Amino acid sequence: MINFATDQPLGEAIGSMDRRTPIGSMMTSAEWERAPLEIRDRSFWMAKVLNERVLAEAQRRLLQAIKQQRDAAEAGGRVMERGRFVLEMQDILRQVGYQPDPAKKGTLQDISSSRRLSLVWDMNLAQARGYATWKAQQEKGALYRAPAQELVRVMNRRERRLWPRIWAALGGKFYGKPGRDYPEAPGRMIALVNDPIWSAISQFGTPWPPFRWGSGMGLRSIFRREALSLRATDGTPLLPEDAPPQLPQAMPQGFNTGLRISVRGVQDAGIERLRSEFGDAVRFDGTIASYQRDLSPANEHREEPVEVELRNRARAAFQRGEKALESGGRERLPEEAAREVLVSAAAVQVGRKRLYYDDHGADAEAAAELLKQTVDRRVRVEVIDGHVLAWRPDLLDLTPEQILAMSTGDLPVNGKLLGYGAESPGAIPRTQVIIRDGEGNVVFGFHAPFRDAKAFGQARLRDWTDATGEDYTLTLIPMEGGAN
Amino acid sequence: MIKVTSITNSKDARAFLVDIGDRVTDRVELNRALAERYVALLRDHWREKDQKGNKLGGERTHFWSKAAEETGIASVDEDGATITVGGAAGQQVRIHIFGGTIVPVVAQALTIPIVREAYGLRASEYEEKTGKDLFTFGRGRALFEKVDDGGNQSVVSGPGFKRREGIPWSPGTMIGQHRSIRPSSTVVPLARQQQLRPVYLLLDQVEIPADPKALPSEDETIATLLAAAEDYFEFEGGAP
Repeated sequence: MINFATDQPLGEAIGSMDRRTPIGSMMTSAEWERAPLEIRDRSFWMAKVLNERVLAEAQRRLLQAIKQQRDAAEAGGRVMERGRFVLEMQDILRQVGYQPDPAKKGTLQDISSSRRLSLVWDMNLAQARGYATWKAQQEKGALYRAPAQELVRVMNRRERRLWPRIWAALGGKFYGKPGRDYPEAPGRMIALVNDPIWSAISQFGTPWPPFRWGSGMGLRSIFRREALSLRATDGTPLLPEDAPPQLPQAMPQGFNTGLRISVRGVQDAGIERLRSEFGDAVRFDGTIASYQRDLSPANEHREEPVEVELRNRARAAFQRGEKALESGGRERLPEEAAREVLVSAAAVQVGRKRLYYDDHGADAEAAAELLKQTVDRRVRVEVIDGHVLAWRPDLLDLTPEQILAMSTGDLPVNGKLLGYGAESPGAIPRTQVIIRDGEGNVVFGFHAPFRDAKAFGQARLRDWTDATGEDYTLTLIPMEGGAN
Repeated sequence: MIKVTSITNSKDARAFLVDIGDRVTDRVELNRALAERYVALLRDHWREKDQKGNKLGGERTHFWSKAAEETGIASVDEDGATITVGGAAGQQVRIHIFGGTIVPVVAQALTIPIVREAYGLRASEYEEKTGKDLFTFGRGRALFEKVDDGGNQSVVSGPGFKRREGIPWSPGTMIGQHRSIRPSSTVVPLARQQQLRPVYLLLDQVEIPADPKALPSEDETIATLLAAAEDYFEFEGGAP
C-alpha cells in the first residue's frame, strides 16, 4: 500500500542524523572530507563552525525535517522546511553574535548566508536519505533482487562534470548503450551494489549519494533480470549466473584505519566527544588525530560498529572485575569504591578515559589487584605510596612519577586526564556533575568547566552505562559563582 | 496465474492487490520485493518529472527529484508493504498528488514569486541574494523592488499610494513599507517616476490543483508489480 495519510519517516535516515554528535571545529570542508569516514559518520559538523550550540540547533532542525515532525499545535503546528531552517539559523547566529566578514557577506564563506545554510540543509538531508537507501539495499533479499545500480543524473546542472571520465579513471565499466545523460559515453555506468567503485567516486568516501558537492548524480536500481543480461564493453558479464551472492555490509567498506585528521581548533568538549565515541580507535597527537581501529583477526569485535565494540569491551572488562570481586576481592575493598574502580578501569581499557587515579591509602594494593584483574596488558597499573594509577602507555605518554606529580599536592592538575574537562577542580566557572543510579543514589561526581560540563558529564555517564549495562542519569548543578 | 488490481485510490492511500493464487511462499519477502519495485518505479517517474523546468524558468528546486530520493519502504509484513516519502519532500508531495489549499501558518500572507530570479527563494533570501529591498505600497498585494528600467509600474501620484503620516509631500518622500524579516517596518523612499517591478504576489491562500501525472499511471503500476511478482517466483521460488 502506498500510504499518503501518515507521515512515516525513514527510520534509517533518522538514525543517521540522530547518532551524530556536534563537533565544533575550524576545519574546512576539504579537511573534513579527508577525515576518516567513521568519524564523519558520527559527527555533526559545519565547516569552520566552532559554536556547538549552533551545530546542535542545526542538527535538531534537520532531524525534525527527517522525522517529519510538526511543531506543537500551540506553536503553529508547522513543519520544518528549507526556508524556515535558513531563517531560524540566521536568528540563532545573530543571537550568538556571529558577524560575517563584510567582504564575504552573502557568499558560501558567510555562515549566516542563505546560500551556505541552504547547502547545509541540502547536503545533510541528502546524506541521510542516501544512507537510508544504502542500508535498505543491504538486506539479503534486496541485494539478490536488485544486485546492481546505475549512476544516473537525478538533477540537471548548468555545468556538468564529465562523470564517464571519472568513472573510467576509477576502474568503472560501461554496460549497454549509453544513457541520455551522457550519450557520448561508451555505455551506462553500472556496477554491483557493493562494488568499491561507489566509494571511490565519492568525494566523501561513502558508497551512497551525494558523491560530490552539488553533483546532481544519483543511483538507479538494476533488478536481477536486467543485471543478468548486461555485458560490459569488454564482454564480461555484470552478474555471471554462477556469481556468489553479495554479502550484506553492516557498514560501508572504506572505513579505513590509519587515516589522519587535523583537529586544529576543535575544543576540549569536541575532543572529549570524539574520545567517548571512538575510544582507542582514535589517537590524538597534538593537533592530529588518527583513526586506528584494530581490524586484525585477533580482535573478535572487528566486525562490529565501533560503538558496539567499545560497549562490549567495556562490559567484558567490568564483568572480569566483578568476577574477581566475587572470588575474594570484595572483602578487601568497599563495594561502592569497587564499582567505581571497575567502571573507570573499563573506560581506561577502551581508551575513553586516559587515566584512573585515586588515593586508596591502606586499600591501595587491593584496588590495584582488582584493576589488574579487570584490564588487559595494554593497561599499566602502579601503586605509589597508597596512590593507585592505571593508564594505557600507548594513549598517554607519561611516566608514573609525572602522573603522580600531576595528581597530588595542593592543586592537582590531572583533571583533564581523568576526563573531567579542567586541569584542576578549582576552575571557575564550573558545574557539579553528578551521576545517579536508577534509584537516585549518587554513584559518581566531579567538577567540570561550566561551558563543557554536559559533554564531559555525558562521556562519564557513558562509562557507567556501557560498563554495567544499567541505566544512570546525569545531573548538572551550576556552582555558586560558576553560572553565567 | 498472478493478477494485480488496484483496490484503493483514496485521498489517504493508494493500494494494489497482487493475487498469487494458491502459491505458497514467504509473504513478507514477496511483499518486500513488490515494494522495492514500486519504489523504483516511483523514483523513475518523479525523476522524469523533474526534467521539466518550472514555469518561470528560474533556478530549479528539484522538488520531484528530492521526493524520489526520499522515497522508501516504511514497513513490510505478511499483509503488505507501506511506502513512504520521507523528509522535507514528503511533507509537500501529497498536495501535488491530491491538490489542496495552502494557507500561511505564521506569516500574514503567502509570497508567490512572479519573476524568474525569485523562484524557490523566500523574500528575505531574495533580498540577500540581490541586495535589493522589497516593499509593499498601496493595498499591499505584492512585494516590489526598485529597478532602473524595465519596471512595469511607475510611482506617480494617485489613489494607490499611501503617504506616511506627518511627512510633507514631495517627490522624494513617497514611501513603501519594508517587508523584510526585520521586526519593524522601515521607510523606503521612492523618487517620483521611480520604476518598480513586482517580485512576489502576496496572497491569503493558494489553490494547488491535483497533478494527474503525479503518480505513475495505474496501467504502468500494475505492469511493474506483475513483473516483480513473476521475477520473484522465477528467481526466488515459491511453490506453484
